[in-house]
Amino acid sequence: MRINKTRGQVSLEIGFALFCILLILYGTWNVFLWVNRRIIVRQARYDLSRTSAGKITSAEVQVSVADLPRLDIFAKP
Amino acid sequence: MWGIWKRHYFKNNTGIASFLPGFVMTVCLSLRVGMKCRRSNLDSGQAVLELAVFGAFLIMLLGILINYGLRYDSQQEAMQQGFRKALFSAFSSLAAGSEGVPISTAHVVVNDKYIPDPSNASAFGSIIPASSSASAIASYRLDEEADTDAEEDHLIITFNNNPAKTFSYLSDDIKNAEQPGKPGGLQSDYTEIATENTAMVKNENSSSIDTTDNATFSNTIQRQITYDSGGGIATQTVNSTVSQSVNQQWQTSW
Repeated sequence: MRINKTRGQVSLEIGFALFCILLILYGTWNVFLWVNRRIIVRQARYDLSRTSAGKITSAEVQVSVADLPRLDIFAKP
Repeated sequence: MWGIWKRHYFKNNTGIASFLPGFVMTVCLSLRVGMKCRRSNLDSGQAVLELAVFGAFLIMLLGILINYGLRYDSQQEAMQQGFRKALFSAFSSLAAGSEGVPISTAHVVVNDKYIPDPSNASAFGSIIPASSSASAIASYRLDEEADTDAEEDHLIITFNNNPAKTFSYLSDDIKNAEQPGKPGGLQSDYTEIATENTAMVKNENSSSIDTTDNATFSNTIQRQITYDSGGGIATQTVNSTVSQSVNQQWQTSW
């Protein structure tokens, strides 16, 4: 009886710990994807706006940070 | 286990010959079960300890990865901003009527970013500056010299993309730091020489003791100023000295 009780406790702990670990890994993976998307999208927009930035009469052309991908960990892929 | 053996022994009543082996076996089985239970608890504690140790390492590793990613992101933003600002400054000076004289602009961008620090988890967020410098030359007559201030080389420093925190220097200001009417140039190095002298003199005579205390403090800032002497670039050593002297006298009568 005591053996089964201990085994149940261990299973419960493992289940809880696995859930937490998987949640952390999922969040980290999404943060990794978010940083990658920001870097790639910013570089693409920077390259696209090079011509307009090189004109003498144009205003200062900067890549807008406002419309870059936002961090949403539980967003649909 | 003990109950099983007791029921079996008293039911069959087979004597001492069968009592001892059954008793020993029962005790051994009981001990084994007890040891097994304790071992399971030990295993559980060990698993928790391993999870705590390796979990801490895992979380620290993930924190370092996130920290590196955010740093790279901020650095890319600063580098792009720096070059675009230098480009714009060079072209806008050209558009302002510099007649094609070389406009060399160097732009330094410093952006303070809040990035979590995995080595200090309780902190609200450490400020890490992302900085970059870029220069651009806009000209179609590179052999001309600058005639006006607008045509001189510029050095612009921008902090946190804030116009109020943007400082602009002309190359003439930097070179002719000691020239009247010009703002001070960039002073990258200096030497501070501080001295402190105290001298206390006591004169004893038949009526009193006369005490004199002289304290002198002097601080000298020694700078190397590079300036345009007309015949070329010269370097001059400039000393700025602040001194203070305190003289106190008092008499102690017998």
